[in-house]
Amino acid sequence: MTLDFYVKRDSWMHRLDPRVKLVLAVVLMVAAMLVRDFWLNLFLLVGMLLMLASAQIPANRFQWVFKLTVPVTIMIVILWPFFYHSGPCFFYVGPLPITLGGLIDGVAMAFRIISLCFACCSLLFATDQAKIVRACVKLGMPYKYGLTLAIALRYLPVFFGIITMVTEAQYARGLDIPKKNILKKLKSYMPILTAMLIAGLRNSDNMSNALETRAFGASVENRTYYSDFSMHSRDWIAIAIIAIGMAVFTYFFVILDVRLPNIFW
Amino acid sequence: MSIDATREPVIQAIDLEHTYDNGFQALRGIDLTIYKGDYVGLIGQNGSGKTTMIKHFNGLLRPTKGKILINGADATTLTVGKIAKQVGFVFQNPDHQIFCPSVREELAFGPKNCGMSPGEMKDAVEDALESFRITEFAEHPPAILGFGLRRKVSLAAVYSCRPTVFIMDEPTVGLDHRSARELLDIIGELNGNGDTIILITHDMRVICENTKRGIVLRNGKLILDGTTREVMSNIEVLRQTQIRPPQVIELSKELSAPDVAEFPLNVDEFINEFIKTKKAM
Repeated sequence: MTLDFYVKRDSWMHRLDPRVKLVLAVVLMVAAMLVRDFWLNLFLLVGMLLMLASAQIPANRFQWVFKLTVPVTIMIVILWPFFYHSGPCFFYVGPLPITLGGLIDGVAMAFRIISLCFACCSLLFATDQAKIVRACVKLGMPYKYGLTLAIALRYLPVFFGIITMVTEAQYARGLDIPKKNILKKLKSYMPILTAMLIAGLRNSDNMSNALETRAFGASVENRTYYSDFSMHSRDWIAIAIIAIGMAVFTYFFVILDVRLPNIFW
Repeated sequence: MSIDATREPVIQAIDLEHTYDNGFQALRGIDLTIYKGDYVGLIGQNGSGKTTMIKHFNGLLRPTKGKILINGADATTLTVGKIAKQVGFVFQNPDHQIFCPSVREELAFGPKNCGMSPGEMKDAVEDALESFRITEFAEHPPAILGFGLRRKVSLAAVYSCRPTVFIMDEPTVGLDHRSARELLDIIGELNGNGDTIILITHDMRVICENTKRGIVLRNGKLILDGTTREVMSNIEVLRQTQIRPPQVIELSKELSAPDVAEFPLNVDEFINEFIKTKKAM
């Protein structure tokens, strides 16, 4: 299992300053959370997909995100109509009317979840993890926290490797995870979790020693960086486009409160 | 080695192949029989397929082609837990299995899984503590013991399930000479009691001084299989797979080309052989 989302390419998105991409991702996420309308949600999602496609992100990454969100989105589409009602009614489940409006709103909410995922991914797919952390530090995050974040990201795959090995080691000692009884199942994971925790603590101890022996913390203010980046004109243009987009969106859909025509009923 | 009808096979690989999900073919048609009482040294570079092969021996991996028989039964019909009663597998890093508050409980985990009665379990744990000479640490938390002791606990914890085949992945790595020697002595005792041992190690001296049979893998294929003496005398084949036998072997090969039967595997044997030759001259 690999948890590195980064796809190495040479596209316009890859070339952008990571800070700009960080801002873009946050703006897209906020937009996805604010937008309620079905058409706007669809527009946002399709827009993001086109943006990622133009950044040469391969199709299997898209599939991966869709697959990941399938359980949640299906649940939302099924459950939403029970709690939101508008438009013509199909039938009643007990006292609850199932309406066309509820169903459409449910689908819009599902789009919203997928959009949120793609907003995160727009950053993760097109930016090297180390650069994301570097961007956070440049934006004012203390270096220590940045490094902690970088190490956490870096060690996720390692940790999954350890999980596999610990699981195999305990299986080899006759550990059987029962398939049916949930309580027993949880209990039988204890040997794996405890061994994991001990191995993890031992790892982190070694890691901190290794960092300190390589002079971590010796000079906090004057540290230099191997790979640094600065804002180019294309980055300022991107920021301007994001700002204009935000302004237009806010003007029409928040201040003027424009409603898109309802073509469903 | 051709199949020996006079001995009892414990693990048989028949045309074993394994291809991982990513398309990498790690094993390419392995035919191998491990007999009861064998003391096998498994040799090969990293990526040669050693780990993939032994993971088939305790069911952690299933063959993508071919078959594995464990004590005559097809391994695909057995769960890893069931195989654990017959084949004990000691992983390289002891920290990947230690989780109990005391050594005694750590050793009781396997027997519990195997469904031993409390009486049997007590005997098995005491026997394991004694065999691995860790009785004095029985109540200590294993996670904070020194590395050598943790290694011993991890072996004892597999031993307490009472399997008759032991697969050990680099059991002497990271141990000082004395601890390694002590551990190898204990493993030798197990083998002396009739248990089968499969030892993976990159330390050719450990192979030469302890094992009776050598198996060499390269690129997922079995390229040598014979007594340790036969395998070690095949310096040219070993060299192809970047293995260098201990210097004493190279030295005796340089001095003369002794028969395989007289090939010295360690310094003591070399000295004996040398004195004999000298006297005859």
